[in-house]
Amino acid sequence: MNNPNFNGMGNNNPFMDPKHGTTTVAVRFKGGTVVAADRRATMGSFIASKKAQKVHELNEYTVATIAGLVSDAQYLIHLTRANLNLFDLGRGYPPTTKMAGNLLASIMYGQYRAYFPYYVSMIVAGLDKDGPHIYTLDMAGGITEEDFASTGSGSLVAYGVLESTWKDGLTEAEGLKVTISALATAISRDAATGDGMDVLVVNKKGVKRMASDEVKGYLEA
Amino acid sequence: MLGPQSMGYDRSPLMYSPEGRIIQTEYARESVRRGSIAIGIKSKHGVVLAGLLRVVDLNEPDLKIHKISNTIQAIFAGVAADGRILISQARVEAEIFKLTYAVPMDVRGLAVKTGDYVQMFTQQGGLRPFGVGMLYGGLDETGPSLQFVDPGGGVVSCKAKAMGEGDSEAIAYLKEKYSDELTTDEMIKIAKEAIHKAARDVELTDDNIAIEIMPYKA
Repeated sequence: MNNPNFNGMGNNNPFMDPKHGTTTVAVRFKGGTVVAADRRATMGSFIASKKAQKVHELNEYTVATIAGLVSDAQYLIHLTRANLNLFDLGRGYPPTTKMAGNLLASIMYGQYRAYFPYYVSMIVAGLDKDGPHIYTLDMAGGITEEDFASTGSGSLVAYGVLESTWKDGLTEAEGLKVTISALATAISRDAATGDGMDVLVVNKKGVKRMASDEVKGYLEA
Repeated sequence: MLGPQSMGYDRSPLMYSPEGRIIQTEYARESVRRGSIAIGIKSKHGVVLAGLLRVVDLNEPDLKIHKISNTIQAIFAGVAADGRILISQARVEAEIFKLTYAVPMDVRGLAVKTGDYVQMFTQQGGLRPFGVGMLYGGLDETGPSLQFVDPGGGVVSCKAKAMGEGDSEAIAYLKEKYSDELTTDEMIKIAKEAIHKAARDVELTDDNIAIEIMPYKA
C-alpha cells in the first residue's frame, strides 16, 4: 500500500489520479535535505498550469511536496502548517520532522477510513535535532522513512537516477546534483512533467529556495 | 458591610465577587490543601515525585503516583475521586498524542491539556471545579520537566513543588535546599525530608511513602 504510485479505491477519473502529472524528488545529504519538483499541472493531456507550486514550506526546517489532486494537497499543506505552528506557539520549540510527517499521515488515514481519501501522495522532508529526515506518505495514511524518495508520474524515471547515484554521506552540493539530475531526467522522459523546477534546500540555516541560475549551474555541471 | 461570602458570591464559580475573585475556585484550592502531601523536584539530572500515603485501617494503601506514559508520571493532592478522573483523561491524551505524532507526549503539552479541561469546570454552569492539584513529572524534548496544574486550570512549570497538607513547611524546606545540580539521590533525600516537615506527626515508613525517580541522561 505504501507505494507512491498507488492508485487505489478503484477510481478511474484521470483528474483524481494521485500519480498524474508530476515529479517530485527528495534526497537526504549529510547536513540536511534537498527537495525539488517540476512546475507542470495537467488535466489529462492538457497543461493546466506551467507555474504550479509543488514544494511547500511547513515551517523553518520542514518542507513538503505534493502530487495528486491539487485542492486536497493544498488543504493538507495549510492544515499541517497551522497545526505545526500551533504546536510551536504552545511549547516554544518546533515539532520534529517525524512529528510533522506522522501528523499528516494521521489526518490522511482518518480520511481514508472514512471512505473519502485525500487523493495525494506527499513527501515530508526536513532537518531537526535528530538530523535530516525524509518521509513518504500515501493516500491511505501509510508513512515510511527513506534516504531518498520520488512521487508522481515521472517518479519511476527519477528513481532510476536516484538508485544509481545516491549514496550515504553526500555533501550539500552532491545532494543538489543528484536531486536536480533525477528531476531533469524525469522532465525529459515523462510527458506530464516539465516547465522548469523548484528546488529547496533544508540545512542548519533553515529552508532556502534556490534561484533558477543556481539550478541551471547544477544542470550544466 | 457584608463580606463576599455572606453575599453569596461563593456559591458558584460562575460569578465574580466584587473584588474580582472566584471564590468557588479558591475553595477548590482549599481542598487541595487538605490532601496528603505531594512533592516534585527536578534538576538537570532528572525528576523525582514523592508523596505521603494515608493508610486507612484495613485498606490496602492507595497508589499515590500514577503512570501516565512511559515518560510521564503524575501525583495529585486533593479529592481522590476527582484526581482519578484526571489521571485516566491524561492517559488517554498521552496515547492520542502518540498515535498522532508517533513520538511520546511532552509534559508541558499534557499539563496544558489537563489545564484546559479543568478550566472548563470554572466557567460552565452546573459544574464543580476539580478539587485536585495535579503534578506531572517526566522527560521530554526539553529535558526533565515538572508541571503543576491548579484547580482553576492554571499551568505552572516548576523547579520544585509541594502541595497538600503542610505544603508551606515543605515549600520552605525545598526553597532552602533547591539547586539545579541536585543528583537523583539528593532529590529523594530532600523529598523525604520535605514530607517529614509537612507531616511531623506521621512516622514515615516504606509503606506510607511513595517515590518515583526519573533520571535524565543528556
